Amino acid sequence: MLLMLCTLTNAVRGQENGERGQYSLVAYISGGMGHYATAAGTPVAVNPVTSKWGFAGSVRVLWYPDHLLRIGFESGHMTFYSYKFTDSIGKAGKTSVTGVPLLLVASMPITARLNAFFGTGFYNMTTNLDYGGKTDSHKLAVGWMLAASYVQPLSKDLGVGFELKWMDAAQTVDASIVGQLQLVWKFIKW
Amino acid sequence: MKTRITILILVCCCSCLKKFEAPVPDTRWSSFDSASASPIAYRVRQKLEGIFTITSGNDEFGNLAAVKWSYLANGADTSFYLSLFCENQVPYIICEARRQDSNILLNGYWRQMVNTGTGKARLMISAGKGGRALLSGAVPDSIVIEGSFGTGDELPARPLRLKYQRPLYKATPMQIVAHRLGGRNSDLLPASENSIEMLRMATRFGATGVETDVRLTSDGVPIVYHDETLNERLIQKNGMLGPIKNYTYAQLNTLVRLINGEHIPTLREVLTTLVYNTSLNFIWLDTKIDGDLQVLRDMQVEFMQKAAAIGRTVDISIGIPTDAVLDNFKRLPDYKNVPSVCELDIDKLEQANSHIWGPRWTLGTQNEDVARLHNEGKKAYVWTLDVPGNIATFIKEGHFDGILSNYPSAVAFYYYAQ
Repeated sequence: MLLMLCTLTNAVRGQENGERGQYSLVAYISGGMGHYATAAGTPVAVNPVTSKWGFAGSVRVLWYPDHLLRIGFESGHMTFYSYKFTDSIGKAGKTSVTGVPLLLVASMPITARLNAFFGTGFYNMTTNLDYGGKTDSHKLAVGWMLAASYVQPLSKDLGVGFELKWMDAAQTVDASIVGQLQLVWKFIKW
Repeated sequence: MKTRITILILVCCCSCLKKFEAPVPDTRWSSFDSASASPIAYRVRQKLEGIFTITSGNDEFGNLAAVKWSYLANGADTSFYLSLFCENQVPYIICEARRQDSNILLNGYWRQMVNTGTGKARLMISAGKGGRALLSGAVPDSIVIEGSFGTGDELPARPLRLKYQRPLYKATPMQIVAHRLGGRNSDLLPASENSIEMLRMATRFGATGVETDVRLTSDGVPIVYHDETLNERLIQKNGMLGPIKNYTYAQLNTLVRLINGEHIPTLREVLTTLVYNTSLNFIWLDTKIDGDLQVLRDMQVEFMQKAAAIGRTVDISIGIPTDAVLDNFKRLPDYKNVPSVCELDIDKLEQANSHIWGPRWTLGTQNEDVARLHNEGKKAYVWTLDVPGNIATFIKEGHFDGILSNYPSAVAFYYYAQ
């Protein structure tokens, strides 16, 4: 929130006087891999084999006004980590922890092609457990996100880029560092 | 702007949360652990109970201590513990006792419940200060416990001295009910709340009964767990999230560990331990089950019979905390004869014919209502009293038959020191 306030301050300074400029809605569609960056806490008694890599896909829609601060919403789906295990009688199981971020996002250009993003909100966390039956269990966890992306324009309304971001479901102490390829599309202007 | 953001990021990175801990210190003591030290007899133990005046160590422990024995039965290896429930913000000392020649050695640790204060306690009743008389079976002229206590794992250096003053008050019975099988995680006790390990310690904290929270797994196994969800407050991180009722017992038992490493106990394990290993004579099953309560009723009958079979009277009461649970309770066959604790108003207690009323402490002492219930042969246990001053007031001015508390040591002190 503090970062957002700083961003807002800067944005107001960057706002032009006079008539308003162009407004637009811009979609960021991203896909890549995340590496789980906190301790998974897998129970050692069941000999877990942990995978800290997982797919991370995101969709972000931002309102680009005629000043520097952009705001919007981000969601998507990501796998934080997964592990396979074997219990004391040799019975195998597997589980994964996934999250759907539901974040309010603020963004500010650092240079013409480099942008910073900060989001806060919730992660709809899911445990997918397969051990003596399948169990899917959900928890809404408070969390945040910090990201930077570099976008290379392909046309006036389209660009491709790369984004590096930290996805943090703080309440459940689950965080991943994510690298994603990105398609940026300015799909509405007025 | 860049400077401000840099400073902000640095502040965020350098911020940290203080982790509070109160680990039980290493209580090894060469004199106590030597081959020349041996267990003391039952008759000696009984004469050691009482109210003691504290003449040294008052800054940490106040002016009075209630000294009481408890035990943990484990076949032939029954362990006995001497607990000292003290006055000043109600710290406690828990010791084991052995004799060495004509001296009685008391070795253990102390804990201050209002903070993380803890340390070793090495005490002794020397031969000339009551030890010889106690060990020979005589009534000593006086009993003086003296020694020292320390902080953390430091060697004890601060003097502690207690002198026997009078017997424990026991005229009007009082059920001292420990919350969550003994205490909460937030109080940094040596075991997790609602664990078997906590239950095994409850009498050392002064409890004569316990309260616990009963839920059902997805395959219908009654387990003991406070919150609706698996969460960081209660369990070690393991990837299991969401409502506990989504998981089978096998899944929980294999993958989930409580915050101090214990497994989530079944109600059957809890009742087995309570009946066969402890001197606790009451358990309040706080019902957190949405539907049919027959599984609770069956277990209640089974374990009250098992207790009776070994000569014990154990009151296993089904808690009625909400109208929904009351409705489900009234669907039990012959529910009016099912032992229960009703937390609702007295009219609803009458509907369920609960033998115990469990009002919230914020409603006050309610002496008229309690007297009315006493006339009907029923009891009243108030919950959850934690502030020492309030505990003292309720004991002095109220007529409750029991007090549910996160600090049973505080209730024990104010009750026995009357």
